[in-house]
Amino acid sequence: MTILKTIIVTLVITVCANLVYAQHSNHNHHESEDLGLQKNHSPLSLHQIDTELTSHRKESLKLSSFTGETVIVVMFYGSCTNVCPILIKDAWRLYSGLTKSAKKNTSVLAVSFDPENDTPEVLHNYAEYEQLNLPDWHFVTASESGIRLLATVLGVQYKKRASGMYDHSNALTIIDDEGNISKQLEGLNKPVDEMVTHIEHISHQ
Amino acid sequence: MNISHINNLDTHSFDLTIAQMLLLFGLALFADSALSQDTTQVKVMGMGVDARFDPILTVLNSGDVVVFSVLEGTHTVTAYHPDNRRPDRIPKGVSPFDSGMLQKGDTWTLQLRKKGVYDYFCLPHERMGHVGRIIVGQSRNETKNPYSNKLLPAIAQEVYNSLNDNPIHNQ
Repeated sequence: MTILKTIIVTLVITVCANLVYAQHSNHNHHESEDLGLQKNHSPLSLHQIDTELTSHRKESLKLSSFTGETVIVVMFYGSCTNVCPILIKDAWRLYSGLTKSAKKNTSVLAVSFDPENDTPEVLHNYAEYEQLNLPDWHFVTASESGIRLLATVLGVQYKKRASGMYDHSNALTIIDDEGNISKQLEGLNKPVDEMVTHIEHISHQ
Repeated sequence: MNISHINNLDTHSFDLTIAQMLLLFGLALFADSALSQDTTQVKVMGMGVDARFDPILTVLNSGDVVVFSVLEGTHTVTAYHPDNRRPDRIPKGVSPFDSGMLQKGDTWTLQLRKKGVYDYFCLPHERMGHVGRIIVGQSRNETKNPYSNKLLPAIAQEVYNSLNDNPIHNQ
């Protein structure tokens, strides 16, 4: 009986040790960690959030500036050399899939996680580089607490690593003309057809 | 001839005559050369500043297939084209390609038929010089400086300049 107990305890310890090691080694070998989306959205309109945003054109904006419009929100950071360029491209695929009339009433808000490095000048260069310095596209920065609040309301998780890189959720969020979260697409490189249809639908209501 | 002989040479090979073995050997060689002529591998490597396509330059015949194999990191294989929000650096009239996100272990295949120079980049790492070139149906000498490098990031310009100048990249 004692021998059996010893064997079971040894097995449990070995399995646990392997799991911890696997998690640790997995963490170390990933370029970044996808933190997933937290589905705990506030029932309040995002237009009530008072966070001041500064765009790549040095315009001062608030979420309420977009009252009456559909907004595609994407959170990213400019120095990302991993998934953010793909995320921005996803936002572009969504936006460019819209009809002319839906585009007229839709803005894209690309909010940086990184207020320290993504100054309006840096964001301007980023927009130029990505050929997205378009009238309805706004690359914005805000205070650290403002960005945290917006991310929390959107369910977007992020954390800064010692290296300066960020682990973060990957998501596109559609906010309707009243500031409500209308639909979200989590992940990268996903088909955007449903999101396009959704925007077409809400912008013609 | 039974195919099981091929798969079980250790136990049944003595059933084959020398002529059959020679025939098999010849067929295997023929099959191998037929496949390798039409398919080229490009390795996609690196996770940051070391991100690269290997080889950077690939020269193909029309209709050949390129298989991009991602060995590490997150990458894309994206044509330089206005549809991908970049300058046009592929032959006129060709639909621009974009692999979408590829990760370690993924492969992505591309078949090119129209003669010309196809420049492509990796979306996350272009600014680190992660760019490549495929030449279809032409020699490298026929295609020197096919596009202006002005609108590219500085390091990508350097890579393409080196392709024009340095024969070491020619495959």
